[in-house]
Amino acid sequence: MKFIPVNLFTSLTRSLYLVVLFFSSQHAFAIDKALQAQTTNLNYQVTIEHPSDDIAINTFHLWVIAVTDQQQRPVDNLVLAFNGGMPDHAHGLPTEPKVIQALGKGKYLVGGIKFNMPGEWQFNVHIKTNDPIGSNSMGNNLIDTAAFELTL
Amino acid sequence: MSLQYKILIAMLLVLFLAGYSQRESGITSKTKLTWSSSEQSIIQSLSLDNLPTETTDPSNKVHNNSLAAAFGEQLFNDVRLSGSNTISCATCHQSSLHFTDGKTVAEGIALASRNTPSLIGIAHNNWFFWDGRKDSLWSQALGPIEHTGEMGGSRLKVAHLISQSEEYTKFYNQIFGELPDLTDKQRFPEHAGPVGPARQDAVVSPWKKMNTSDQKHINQLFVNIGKSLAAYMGTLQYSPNRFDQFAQQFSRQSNYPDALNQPKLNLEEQKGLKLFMGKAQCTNCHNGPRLSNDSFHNIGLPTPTNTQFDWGRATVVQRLLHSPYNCLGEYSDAERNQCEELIYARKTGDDLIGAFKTPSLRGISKTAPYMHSGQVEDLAAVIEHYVQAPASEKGHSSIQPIDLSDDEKKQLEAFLLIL
Repeated sequence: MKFIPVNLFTSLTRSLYLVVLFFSSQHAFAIDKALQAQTTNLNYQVTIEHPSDDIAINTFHLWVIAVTDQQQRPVDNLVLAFNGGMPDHAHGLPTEPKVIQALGKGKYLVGGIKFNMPGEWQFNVHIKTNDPIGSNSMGNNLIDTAAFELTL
Repeated sequence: MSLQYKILIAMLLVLFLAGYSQRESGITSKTKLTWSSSEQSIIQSLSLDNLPTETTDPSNKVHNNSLAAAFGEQLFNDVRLSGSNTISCATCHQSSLHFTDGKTVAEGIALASRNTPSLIGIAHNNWFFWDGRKDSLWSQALGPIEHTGEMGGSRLKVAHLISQSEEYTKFYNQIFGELPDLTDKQRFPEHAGPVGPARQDAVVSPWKKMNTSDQKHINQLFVNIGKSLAAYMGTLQYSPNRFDQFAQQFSRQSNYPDALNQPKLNLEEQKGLKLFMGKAQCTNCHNGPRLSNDSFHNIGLPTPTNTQFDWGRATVVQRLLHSPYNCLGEYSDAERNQCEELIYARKTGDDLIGAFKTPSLRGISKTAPYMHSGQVEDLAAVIEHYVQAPASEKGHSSIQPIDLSDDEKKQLEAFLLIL
């Protein structure tokens, strides 16, 4: 097998990832009681559950995020990480949301959700394994990502 | 009078009144703009009615204690808190200038690199200093006292000042309990603290020789001084302005029903308000009743001549997370779950480079010059900056150019001046 430098390989995968992310993010979901998205590699279905129709800015929100596999079975023992931001304004989320508690049945309680501007937001749920040895091209045991678009 | 005459007179009266009311509505349309329901809802969201009249700070149990506020006010104006006995908090935060100093950058013992921010409504903030390097008003208040370029004082000098003043001792004992006995100058030097220009200087060396338990007593005393100063600053609240009066006409619970027919803003100012919420995109960040989202943004400001690029938020978060004086630290009165801002603070990211806190725009007409280094002279220049939206020297700017005519720039400025 021909040797491919790690950096080039990583940047190629990253570009591919961004392209896929771009197209997958075209399936935007309006603010609703539940937001659903397929992950980029189609491993999971991710649902954001939040208590109100409107997401107020400049205040903290608690969300329950539910993850199921393609057979609709809830998936526990995942490590979730979050990022996002406003592509039009070249900035990220104002906070670093974290999982506060694994609720079981594929549900995770997430704290620290905050938006500080009205407009188009991207919110990414990165799904990682709990296995410290497992890895893939994205590093950090990242398996898959669900990208959400929110208009506040 | 015959019936025909009566009908004729009635018809003339109707015609006259119709003409009159048409004239009236003509006048009205020249002084009042119409506002869509979404604009009305944004206007209401910016109104001071949405801001609590009292602030809270779970990390400071005396935040709303009137005695602590009275003590804090005296300390705020006391030059003896400084190393040179010439500078107080009020030197830079002057009440006549909306608690600023009107200078480009603050002038204490030396010239600072940042512009003095106003203190009106400051206790509503989540983050303090332009880069948000403190997460409480009390921990912020301690910074300038010991900063070698600002007041150049020390926590031991402050401690001795409190213990040597009968009035201050009385205040302290009543609010916080018995003041530690500081008479042993071997244990408690006159002028000592962990902050100094060099590691071995006249202030830091004696501090290092103190035992840990004595240091902790002094730290606690110093923190209590910060908490008293914060209690005083918590009393500096915003007053309603003409915009707030204008906003009341769209409020369901308006206390001023007459406001409907009496616009508090002239046409120029109303047009400015429309731009503020619309084309000029000011409410993207200057939103909510304080006209600030309390977040950090790089807006591509020029680096002042003969200075280096200011990295802003990017360089302070790690220090804050490890500070014993943060919301989770031993001197805080808060429970862990009351420290959400700190727990979920962004730690890394290119967007923190050159990012500074969105300031409140309330009272903006009184606080020139503008921006974190006072590098923008007046409001016209501020508007011009947003129109041009230059790229940032480092990192990347969050703003994009806006197309405003000269008339529109003046309208926007007219609105900013009433805030």
